[in-house]
Amino acid sequence: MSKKLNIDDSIREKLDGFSAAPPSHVWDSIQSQLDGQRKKRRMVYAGWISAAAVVVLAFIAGWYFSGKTVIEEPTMAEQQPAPEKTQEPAVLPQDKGIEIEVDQLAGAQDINAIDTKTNKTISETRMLAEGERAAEQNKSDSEQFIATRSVESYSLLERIEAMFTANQSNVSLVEKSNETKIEERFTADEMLIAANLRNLNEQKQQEHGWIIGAQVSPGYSSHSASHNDSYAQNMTYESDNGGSNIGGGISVQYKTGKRLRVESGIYYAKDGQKADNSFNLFASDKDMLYGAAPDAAYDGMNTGFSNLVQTGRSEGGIAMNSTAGVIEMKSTPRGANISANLENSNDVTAQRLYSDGEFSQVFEFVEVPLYLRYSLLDKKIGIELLGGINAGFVIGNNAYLDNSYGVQNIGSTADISTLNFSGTLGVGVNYALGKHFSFALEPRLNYYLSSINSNPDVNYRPYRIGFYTGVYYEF
Amino acid sequence: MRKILEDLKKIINGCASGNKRAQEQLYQLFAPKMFGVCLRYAKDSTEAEDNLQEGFIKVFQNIGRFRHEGSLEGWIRRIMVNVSLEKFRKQHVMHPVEDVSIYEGQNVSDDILAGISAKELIAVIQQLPPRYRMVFNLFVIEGMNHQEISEEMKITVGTSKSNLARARDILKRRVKELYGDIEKTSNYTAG
Repeated sequence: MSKKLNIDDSIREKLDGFSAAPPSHVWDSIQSQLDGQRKKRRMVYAGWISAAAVVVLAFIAGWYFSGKTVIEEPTMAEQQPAPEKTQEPAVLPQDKGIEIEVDQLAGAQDINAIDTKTNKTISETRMLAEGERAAEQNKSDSEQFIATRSVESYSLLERIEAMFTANQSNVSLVEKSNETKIEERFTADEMLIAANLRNLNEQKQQEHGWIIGAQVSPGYSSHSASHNDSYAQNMTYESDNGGSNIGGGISVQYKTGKRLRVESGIYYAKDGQKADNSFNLFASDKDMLYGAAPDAAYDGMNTGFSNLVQTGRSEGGIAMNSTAGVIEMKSTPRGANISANLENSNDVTAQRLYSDGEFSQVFEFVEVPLYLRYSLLDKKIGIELLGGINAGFVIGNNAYLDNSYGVQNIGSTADISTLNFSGTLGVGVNYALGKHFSFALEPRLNYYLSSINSNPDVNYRPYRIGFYTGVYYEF
Repeated sequence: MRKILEDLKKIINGCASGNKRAQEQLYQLFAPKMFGVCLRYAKDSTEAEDNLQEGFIKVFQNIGRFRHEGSLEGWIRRIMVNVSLEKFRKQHVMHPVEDVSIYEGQNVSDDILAGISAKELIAVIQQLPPRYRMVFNLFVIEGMNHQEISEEMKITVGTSKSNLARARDILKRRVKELYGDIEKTSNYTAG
């Protein structure tokens, strides 16, 4: 024993202080790896900041939207730091998981490659008889070994690999007196393992990638609006309703990690509302006037529309205050009448437009979104949260009157800004149809963060609930 | 001495805040010795380089947690050993096979070791079967006992003992095979 210790001591003495200069490329790779991590961390950080920003935006918008101020604010403060806390674990365990998978795969490949080789080498040795005996024992050993393992519910791959390893060590016992050969084989095996590992690492599954999608979205749109008093005095219809419509578009997503994706694309959407008032003759000065009374169509039973208008303007045409802003009409719509409100001496210039049917106002948008998607569940059926902002370009701005003469385009709303921003929140449920395709249903709420009308008297923010239905293709 | 320690502390703090210059200084300071450690645990210098790289990445990632208690070298060295062990675990599935057969020691003179260089010795160690190499390193150089090794490598104490004996055995035989002549020469010069 002391002799052995002496050997150990002399080996330790020899090796303990041993140092060797590593090749310079090691430091280079360390540096580039560190740089890569910095960048990645920055990206993840930026990702979380934008996610937090979206949440904050959503809350601000929601608060602004619903007019409730008090309750939501503390929630905002709590929401913000939460992502930062989870930042690190969100990335690391996933990385590890992937590495393990790759290794298991590598193991499986090794066996395919080496198993035949091992057998061959055994047959090459001159100790056939001994080898066979050992192989038999080896077999029963591994069987036993596998049996115990399978109880612990190891995967098939692991079992194969374990069997291989069992083979390896037993073979080394058999060929005890043929040491050099074994060592050569170990080296050869290890080179194969290493080569396989290297290959597999290179092919390491990419977490990054592109997804494209196409959706149609039946939806319902309405608005939240407020007007200053003087504007409201000349807008005499009191209620209007949202309308159903259809939109859609194409999207592009980029995976920045296993769970996080950034999305953009181009969508078409419609927002608007309809209004009518049932006439209640002579009830108040806001209602239908005497001049209209002789026409039987304007009774309380039929829908009709009336509102104050302004004529004789220097720009020409007729102006009418509506929910979304001042409507400018070139001429009196067909089937509509304009009467002077002569019964009210205070209001000599005010005139009233009235018609049967329904008035509607429609805005069409092309929206370019910037969304973040976070995958909560990534299986056959996946669940995602999405949120972000849209740049909404107004491409259509029309007002319609739908009366006995059909649907007429009566004009457009003044002072509508061409570019507006909206926020979107949604939940996506998708179902994988194959390796690349998936089908998705995503209810989304989209609301404009500020008034799309630049007239200071009008605050008009449309919103829309859409059921985005479509397919995605993942590259 | 105090100055050196102060400098080291500065380097450590620099590394912790991600300063590239400090990272390079730390690397220059410890890389040669750690490469020596990695070489012992690896089958060849390519693997040693990989482990050294991985180890230093871990060092830089975790240096903020270094408590300035105990030696930095020991801490870094432990990381290198862990990386090497981890690599071994990944490449070779561990299983609790009882391997307790005791091998006859080779009749090789201890003096033979005196004649060969550390580099040559490492080359021989690298050729050991992986598990023998791990056990041998942990026991002989790192000074761990069989209980600790068995826990670290998830093998039985018996296997650890037997692997160690086997490693010594192979080592001595290889040294004799390769450097047997040198022994004679050195004996002549010595005597």
